[in-house]
Amino acid sequence: MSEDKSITVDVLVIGGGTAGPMAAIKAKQANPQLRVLLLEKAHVKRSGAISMGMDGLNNAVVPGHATPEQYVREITVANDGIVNQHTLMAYARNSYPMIEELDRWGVKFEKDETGDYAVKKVHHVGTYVLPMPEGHDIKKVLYRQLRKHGVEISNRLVATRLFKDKDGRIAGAAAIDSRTAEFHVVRAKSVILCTGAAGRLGLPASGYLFGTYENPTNAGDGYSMAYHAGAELSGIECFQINPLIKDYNGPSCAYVTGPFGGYTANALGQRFIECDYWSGQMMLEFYNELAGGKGPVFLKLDHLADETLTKIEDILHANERPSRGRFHAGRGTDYRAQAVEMHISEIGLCSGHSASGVWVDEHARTTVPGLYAAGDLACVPHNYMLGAFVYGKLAGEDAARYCAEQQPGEIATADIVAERERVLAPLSRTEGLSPNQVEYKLRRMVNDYLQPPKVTKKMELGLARFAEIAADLQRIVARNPHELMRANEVSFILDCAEMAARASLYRTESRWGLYHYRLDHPERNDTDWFVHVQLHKGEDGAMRCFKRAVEPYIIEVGEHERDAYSRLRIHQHEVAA
Amino acid sequence: MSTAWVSGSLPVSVDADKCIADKGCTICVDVCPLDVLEIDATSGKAVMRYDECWYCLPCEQDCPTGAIHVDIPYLLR
Amino acid sequence: MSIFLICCADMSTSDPVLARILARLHDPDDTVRSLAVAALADIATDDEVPLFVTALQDESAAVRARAAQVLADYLNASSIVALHRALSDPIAAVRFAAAQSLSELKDPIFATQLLDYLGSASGFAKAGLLRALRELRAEAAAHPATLALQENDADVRREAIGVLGYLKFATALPALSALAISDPDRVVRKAAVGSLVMGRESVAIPALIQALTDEDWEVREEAAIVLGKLRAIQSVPALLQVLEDAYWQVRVKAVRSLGLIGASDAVAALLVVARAPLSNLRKEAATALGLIGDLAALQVLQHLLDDEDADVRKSARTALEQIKHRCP
Repeated sequence: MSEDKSITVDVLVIGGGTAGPMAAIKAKQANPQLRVLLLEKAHVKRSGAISMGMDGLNNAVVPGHATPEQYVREITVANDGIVNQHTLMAYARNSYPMIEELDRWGVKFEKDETGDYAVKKVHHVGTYVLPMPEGHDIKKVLYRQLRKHGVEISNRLVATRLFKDKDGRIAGAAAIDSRTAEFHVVRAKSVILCTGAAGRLGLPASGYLFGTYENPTNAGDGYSMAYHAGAELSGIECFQINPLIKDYNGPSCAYVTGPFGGYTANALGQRFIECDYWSGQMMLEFYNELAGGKGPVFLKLDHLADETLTKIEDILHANERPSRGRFHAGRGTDYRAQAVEMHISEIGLCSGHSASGVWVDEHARTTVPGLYAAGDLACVPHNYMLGAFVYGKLAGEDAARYCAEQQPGEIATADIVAERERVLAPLSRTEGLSPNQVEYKLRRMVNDYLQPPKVTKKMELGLARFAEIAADLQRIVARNPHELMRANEVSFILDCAEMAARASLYRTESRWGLYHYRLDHPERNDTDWFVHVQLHKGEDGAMRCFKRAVEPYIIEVGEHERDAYSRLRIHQHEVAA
Repeated sequence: MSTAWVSGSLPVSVDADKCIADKGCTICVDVCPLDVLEIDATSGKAVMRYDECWYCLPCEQDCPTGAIHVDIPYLLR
Repeated sequence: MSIFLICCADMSTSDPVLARILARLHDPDDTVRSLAVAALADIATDDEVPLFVTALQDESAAVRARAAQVLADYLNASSIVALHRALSDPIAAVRFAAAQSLSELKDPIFATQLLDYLGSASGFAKAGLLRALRELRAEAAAHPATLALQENDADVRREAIGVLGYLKFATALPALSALAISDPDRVVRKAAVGSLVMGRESVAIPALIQALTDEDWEVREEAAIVLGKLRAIQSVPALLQVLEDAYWQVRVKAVRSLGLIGASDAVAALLVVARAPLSNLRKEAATALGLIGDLAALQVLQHLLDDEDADVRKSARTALEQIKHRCP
């Protein structure tokens, strides 16, 4: 066995996509003396959910268009009341300063002819959409700042587990190099997890393992690492499911086409979505329309003027998913003549879009001392890309303060030895299963047993199948470092699958529309379930769920407002009937 | 199943005449989030090694000579 | 390696990665030099800017374009000198890259330098400099930008509008109003109309009203939007005319603006729009009727509660709430 690579830093940031670079930059700004290492599984220049840029913000709280109080109120309603408003408020208050800072850094937001942000009203309540028609350069801008601030970067390293010291404080992480299979130990006073969504959980309807909505590099690494470190996770039963272009599996970008007059329609060309948010409620309406006689569902643009469509194509084909135009061309779809068929995505875990993540407070602290989480991974409902930047900043600044007061923790040698053995085992086997076979089977089972509407017995069967696959992990063979990375990702995905099933079984009601729609518990039950469902690794090493009370609201959602919003929505039992 | 040589229709194709990997370019290999490309030791040109493409296109867009073309994977077309 | 040592005696380095890149900057093959420029940009500090400036004078356009592009990350007084020179490069790709990099400037201290160049610049270079000045919002740019509104080059006029708009330079409103209604270029007219949103006083309103009948529908659309943002009540009769526009996109914006203005004179016309075949128009009409808050709209809005389009139903529900709230 070769010598381990070892490095000691103050702050270790795992994940170089959106939140991670911001966390690293902010830690360094807070204290330039700190040694900050940004560890990335791919390459920081082009990684994460916004590797090809982003076409807009859909939750920009810009003065004159929305207030932080209004935003907190609306996300509280959108997430059916199960929120920690302190975390939402921290986002909302930091949202506009973050936009201004990104602007100074060179991120291009749409402005009117007088240089004011061109915030668009897309929904009936709230005005939060700020387009970024030239948003393809955003990773370049982040990279420029990383370089200017002297953040150390390690690309192509896959973090596999976190280490703690004997007092339970975070002490570092293990990682493998996906090109050489070298085993790395990074000692750090604090660790910030920014590993994105668990995007390779469900299998896309195409059956193509890498045809996921999320960047498939995001296999749920952080969910698994936080879990094994003993951190609380929250809202895991609130799955991510998105309305997407069928087969292509890319976003329909209603909030790009919306300001131009495009919309989602049923086969009759009629709009059908009653709910105003990209939420589980909306997904339930989508699901019902797809399954009903007026389906399937389309993105309707053919009524728009040619100049408008050219503009939309320029934005959509330059940002986020530039291969979209190629997909449409292959099928002979022209926005001018045909509506685009849509579908619903495979399930995933993601707080950026729904609410499933690692539990954090308004400083991005998890329940493990020294461990932070930010971005799609951290449970701050519906916080999207701008939320990743804001929580990256909060995490980086708080981690810098934390480091100033801490001595480095000691990692037990036995822990390092055991982890090296565990992650490298597939390389030493000569016979067994290939990583992608096991992954395919696991993710097919996720579809079969966990895709909503959820059914108790099916989820129990799913857990039994997952346990069998857990045994199969001991038979996976990796022929090279690349396959070793995939083999380790299968174990992340398996952890996420088990978490998704157990959290869903625990909450015996329905909530968040399709995200947690249980056929055998179809009603919302506020008496017993107006609580967060938390999940963690118990003292005995087994997965355990428990209730955590919802913190008293800091922004009251008045009776009148709740009524006004709920009148914009349709009730679950009416739709499901 | 995941290794490229089994499949007959790979999403990423490289025009060897345009590829300048033999002059020290590794841009496409660097920017791929799934790490599916590599420089072939014999030819000195970029090749698709793993059939795990997300069709996200940095390889094609960042290539300084326009040597790369990405097709939508057959299963999705 | 010996060439590198001679050429870059002041750039001596112990970093082997940097040393290798520096050597490649002098490779006889321009592809290698271009790659070296890109690689250097990943790891350079401001100390290496002279190397990029040198590369910007390379005999190969590919190398020059790459250098112009990466200088966006290394903007300082000396790189701006070089990028300004590159705005007049014989090769378009180099010129465009230089203009793009200059437009990344954010620090107002560079405005003086750009303004120095502006006096003698023309055509592409002048448009590029104005584009770079826009974000810097330097008061001193207002005068040259106002003069540039009269230039023959449409791109120059367009960028000059941007400079004045970002400064919210109200003194230029008469000149901008004139462009809004009479510039031969549609892009310039549209930008000028958009810039008139800064006119809190009513000086720009007549031009905006006239722009509602522009031959280009996107100019008309922009004028309708701006009049709503300005809450220009005197434009209501003209906006009512726009409800007959050939483009529904323009009609939608007029309806929205009538609502924002709270034009009670528009209720009868909006009740007609509320029965339009296109659902986007019905939706916008319902919203506008809610904002105006006239009881005369109740019956039509009640009817829209059963519209086939969910967004129309939602707008009607919201509008009815607003009217009931205002007229209990």
